[in-house]
Amino acid sequence: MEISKMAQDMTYNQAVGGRSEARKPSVWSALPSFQKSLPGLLAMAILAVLCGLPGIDFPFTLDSLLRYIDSVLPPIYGKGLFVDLLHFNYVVTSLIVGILVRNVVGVPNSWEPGLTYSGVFMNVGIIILGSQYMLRDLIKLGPISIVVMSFMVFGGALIFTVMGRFFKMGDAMTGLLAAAFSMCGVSACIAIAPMVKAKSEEVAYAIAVSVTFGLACLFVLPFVGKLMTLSNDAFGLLAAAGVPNSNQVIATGFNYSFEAGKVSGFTNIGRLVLIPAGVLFIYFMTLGKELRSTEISFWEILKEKFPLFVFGFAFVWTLNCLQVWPVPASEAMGKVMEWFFAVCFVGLGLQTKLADLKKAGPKGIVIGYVAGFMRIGLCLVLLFIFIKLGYLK
Amino acid sequence: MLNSLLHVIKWLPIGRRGLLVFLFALCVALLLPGYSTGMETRHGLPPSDDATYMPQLAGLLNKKLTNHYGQEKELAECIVLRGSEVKEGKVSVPAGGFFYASSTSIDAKPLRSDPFLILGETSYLLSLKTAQMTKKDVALGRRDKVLLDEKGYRLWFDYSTDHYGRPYGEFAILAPSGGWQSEMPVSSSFPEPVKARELKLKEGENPQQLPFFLTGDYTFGATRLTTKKIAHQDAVFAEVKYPVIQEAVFSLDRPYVIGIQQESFRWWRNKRIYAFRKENGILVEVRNWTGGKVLASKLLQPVTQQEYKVTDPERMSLTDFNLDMHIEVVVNPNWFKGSDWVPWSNDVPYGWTNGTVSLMIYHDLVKLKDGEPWPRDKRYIVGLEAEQMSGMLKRVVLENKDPFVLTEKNDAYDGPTSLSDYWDRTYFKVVVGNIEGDVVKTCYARDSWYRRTDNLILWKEGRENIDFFVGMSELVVSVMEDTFLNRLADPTYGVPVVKSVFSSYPRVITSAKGFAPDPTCAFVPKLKGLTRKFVPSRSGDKLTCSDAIVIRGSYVDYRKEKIVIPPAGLYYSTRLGRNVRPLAGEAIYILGKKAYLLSTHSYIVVKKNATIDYWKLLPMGEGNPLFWQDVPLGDGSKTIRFLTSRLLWGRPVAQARIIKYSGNAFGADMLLGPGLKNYEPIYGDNKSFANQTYSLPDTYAEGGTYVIPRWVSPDVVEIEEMGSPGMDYFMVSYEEPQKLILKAGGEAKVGDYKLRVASVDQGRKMVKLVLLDATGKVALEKMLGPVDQSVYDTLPQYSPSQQKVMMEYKDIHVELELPADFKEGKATLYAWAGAQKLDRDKPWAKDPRYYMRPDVCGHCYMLNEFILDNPEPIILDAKHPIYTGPEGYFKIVIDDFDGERIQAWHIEDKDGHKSDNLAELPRNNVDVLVGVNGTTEHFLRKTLLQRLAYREIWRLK
Repeated sequence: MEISKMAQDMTYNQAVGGRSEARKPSVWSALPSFQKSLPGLLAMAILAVLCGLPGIDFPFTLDSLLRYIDSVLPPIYGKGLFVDLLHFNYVVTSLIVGILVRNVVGVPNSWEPGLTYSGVFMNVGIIILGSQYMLRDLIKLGPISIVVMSFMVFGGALIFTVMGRFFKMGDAMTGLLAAAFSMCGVSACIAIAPMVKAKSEEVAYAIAVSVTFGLACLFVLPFVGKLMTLSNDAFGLLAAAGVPNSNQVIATGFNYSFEAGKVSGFTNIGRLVLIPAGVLFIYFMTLGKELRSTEISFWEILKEKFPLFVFGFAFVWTLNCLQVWPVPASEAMGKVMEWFFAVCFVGLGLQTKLADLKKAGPKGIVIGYVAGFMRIGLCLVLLFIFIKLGYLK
Repeated sequence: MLNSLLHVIKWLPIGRRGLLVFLFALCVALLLPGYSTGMETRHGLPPSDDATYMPQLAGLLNKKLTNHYGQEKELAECIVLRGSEVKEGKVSVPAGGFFYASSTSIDAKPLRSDPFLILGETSYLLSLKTAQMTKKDVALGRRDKVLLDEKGYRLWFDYSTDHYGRPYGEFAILAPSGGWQSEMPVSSSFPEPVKARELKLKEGENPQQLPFFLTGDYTFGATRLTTKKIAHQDAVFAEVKYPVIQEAVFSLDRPYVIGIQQESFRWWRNKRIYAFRKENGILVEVRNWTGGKVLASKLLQPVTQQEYKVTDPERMSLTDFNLDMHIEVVVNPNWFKGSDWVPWSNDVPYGWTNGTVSLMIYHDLVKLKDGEPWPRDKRYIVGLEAEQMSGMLKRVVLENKDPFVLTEKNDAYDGPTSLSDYWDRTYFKVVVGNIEGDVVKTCYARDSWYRRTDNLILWKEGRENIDFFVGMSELVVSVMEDTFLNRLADPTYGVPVVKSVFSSYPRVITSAKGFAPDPTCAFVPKLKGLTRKFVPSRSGDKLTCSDAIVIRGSYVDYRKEKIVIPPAGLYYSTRLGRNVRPLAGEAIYILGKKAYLLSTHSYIVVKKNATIDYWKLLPMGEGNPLFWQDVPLGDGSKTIRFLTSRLLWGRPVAQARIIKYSGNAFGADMLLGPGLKNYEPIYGDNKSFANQTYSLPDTYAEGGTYVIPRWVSPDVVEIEEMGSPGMDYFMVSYEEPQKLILKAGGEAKVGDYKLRVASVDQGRKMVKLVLLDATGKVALEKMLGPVDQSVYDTLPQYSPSQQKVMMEYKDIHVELELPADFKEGKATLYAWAGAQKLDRDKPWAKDPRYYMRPDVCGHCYMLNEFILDNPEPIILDAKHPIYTGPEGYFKIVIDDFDGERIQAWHIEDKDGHKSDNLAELPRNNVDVLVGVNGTTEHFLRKTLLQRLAYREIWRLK
């Protein structure tokens, strides 16, 4: 199948004002007409359904297949391999299916205009994402957990940013890895991607690094915990703070002990709650570099560079924290958000060339793993301080 | 041969008699193991106490299907392994130890397309052959589960207690799978319930009545227990009758409905089906494709809803196993629109609508016979279990015929092979691994699609058996009955809490009395500050007193950003393992302080000409209907609630229950089905149900509670008269009693008074007591006794008899030690000072925010439970996040509430010991059960399956 040049010309990065192109006056004016885009949009929607769109009862999906395989294989610490441990949720499966179609079968020309809409879907999804977090959720964790979680989210983001700059990794990849490791892997990656103007292959790369790191933690951390004779509470906190993805957090906790699993599952909520704040923090860290490198005022940069949807995201998050809409509405918004993300990630996958992914090289993996373990080390130090002070058993 | 043997033996020194003794002993020794094997069958017994319960194996189905009248049937499959043992690297499972069970809600009857699951295949019940087993002179001991027959039915003596010193017990009939339906209270010592009709009581409050009603002949439709003698430790039944099923025919495919013009035919596959109208029915003929050869023919009468037709299925259907067809004539298939399979063809050719006959055709027939091998797999035996009231099909069981052994090499045993249109497959298998000596560390079940459970051995050190129960079936409720509380209270699980269902309209009630808490509410098995102590009685009984906290009916008013606990929504409950009785030195702990029960003041409330209406309820979703049809009784502390209704042989049977103030139900379900006495369902010439009798009581009476229905319909019950005990007050003392042994003239100081024994009449068993105040003035004189047999026969429950052996004056209470023999002219007395009255519906003196609600036993008029609850609504919000229990005994603390979702809250005791967070997932109510006593246990029992399942699913997630 012929792959057109249009695919290279009109990518997601352009649609949202990517680094390689001059910024367009608006998102909408950068998009092709709806008529031209229809095949691509349909392709994305159909592939998203085949991947397993949340809330749609269509049994023949990749998600069903993976769940079936999980139910055939022996569970590992009560967890399924693909869905729970490798974190193959709707985002990951959509991305993988997109990448496979692009790189194995190829993408017809007629799809290309429609694929550019994936950026818009992502922005809409991120705006709705704000409705899923509530700062108050943090309160029930108790002061120690709040301190550890806040420190690890912001401190971890700082470690990644510093290391990214030191090893000249590029803002986009630095931001993605910082978000993936400091907060909740995949969700945080999604949230930060358009802010740091990451390419689709960079997103896929960062997700892969965070998922494999989480898998390594599942086996390494309990060993470390036993070696240091950590209590269940301390290990639960360590797992919640150190492991990137939620399911892996809980599996790591249960791998250590039943009680630790409970603690890690519970405290993980704190990290999820901090995603919006952490994402904005990382965004401003990236923006700070530009601020220093230009002579334009902060407000000018903010006006020029700050994407509109971030306001939307922050606005929706604030409204949610203020409990403006009731819970059923927030749950419905969650479902709609997942649909936007699923379609968007199919589109991103359809634009990702594996050759580009190779170009990223091993630097990201090395930095991700080193910084990830540094975070864990930092967390251990913090926990020992609390234990010495008698705040933690 | 024996002679020649004796001839040889005569040279030996043992002699002829010795040889015969030896041979007899040898015979006994040889027979004993066989006999023992019979006795040791696992039929009717549950898996081991440490058996794992796993709610899900993907291949086991749970379906809700409807029959052709639109009645919903909840179908569920499960697999159970019981009686296994691990020894020297081998796992042995006895015959009948590994079984598959498929069950339906209520029952499945023929002639109504009742669906059933058989190894994953949706099938329809076509016909049944039923019978009733009768066993005479069945004797058993308390807690025994004695075998009734070789199939494995058992009679279980669960519990016994007494009234007026005479025993009564609760019994259940266990099916071979271990399932049982209801516990039947019986006695051989009390008047029959029908005698309640002789009570002549006025409407409203009446004095306590002497008679205690309890049947000696419990009838439950097809089940009957006729007692001979019930004692505390053993029981003998003159007759035990229970229904069994001998044969069932199913169709493994949905039925097809075809309409046929009379005197004409329609094609069905390669056959022609003709219908000819005759004066006494429809002659149905199945002919070959040319129409020239009649393959089967029968005169059929149409199937309709009347239940008596079930007795004569032969007249209603044409069944031919050679043709693999079962045909029924149906009147109007359009009525079947409520079924799962809306008839795909219900019209006739050419648009003719007059003069048509509709036939329902089933195929893929399979006949199952109880006790015979499963047709597709001879390793498994079919068991057909009956619903104990209707005698119709409740459960199909397939169990292993022979024992089997699993080892490291031979690590799997296949379940039965299914019968399917597409793939006859092994429906499931059990697999073991890591067998180390006498323990096994890996065991799981795998379904036919190779999906598996998690490891069923939950402990790293392994287990000495592989018993398990997999599946969300109703069977788990009865099979796990013995151990469910331990399982739910296992502290290693913490308090997993379900997320609330948030809706736009929260459930709002004005008073929570009689309500149960939210079925998904948290259960805190242990809170340090709650009391759980042994309370010895004077007679040496060791009773456990435990208290609990219940919050019910609470909700979030998100418009006002408040959490509301309605009146009676928060209560503290304290009770013993059974009712608390006076005259025995029994005590309960009230808010942690030991209080001796001195006396009670009870009565009976009578209501006449009441109507309860099944449909007068306001469904609120979430399994929490508001019961507007509750009929309050007298003082309002009890109501009668219409639970459900059903038909038994066409007669309506209403099921109602007395609901107590706490929300617990009293006693067994009231079955109100007048007019069904020894009913023998015989229809026309058909005698297939001959000698099978069905009975239900005309009058319900258990202890002091009785209900006389005037008439019963499926929707409304009109009650002629009903009565149930109530309690106005009871007396307690927090002080320890003084034991006084006094002769005539003897004196002792009791509180501020002086007690003098004026006279002792050893012959007439009487003693005269005089109470003198500080000035020496006589405050009270009372003659106790005569303590004759009539008094003993009605103690400790009957109030007038109690008064004969006690004296009460202000804060002084004196009672005779019983039995009172007045040996050597001495009276043995127990005296308390500090007696105080605890009045119903009055404020608790030390904390008037709470009201006292003594709950009386509906059987015996005694104190069953003491409740302190809130008479006014409790409002919790951001500004007022804490509410304390009575006298600060506990504290409700809302840690985080955002106006709609309760994100975190807990309960703590007076010393600050906290429960876990009770909103691990956001909730919109603060309903909770804290502590284990009879009250919380009752609520837990109602949601046992869901809670056990949720607990396990939660553990894995």
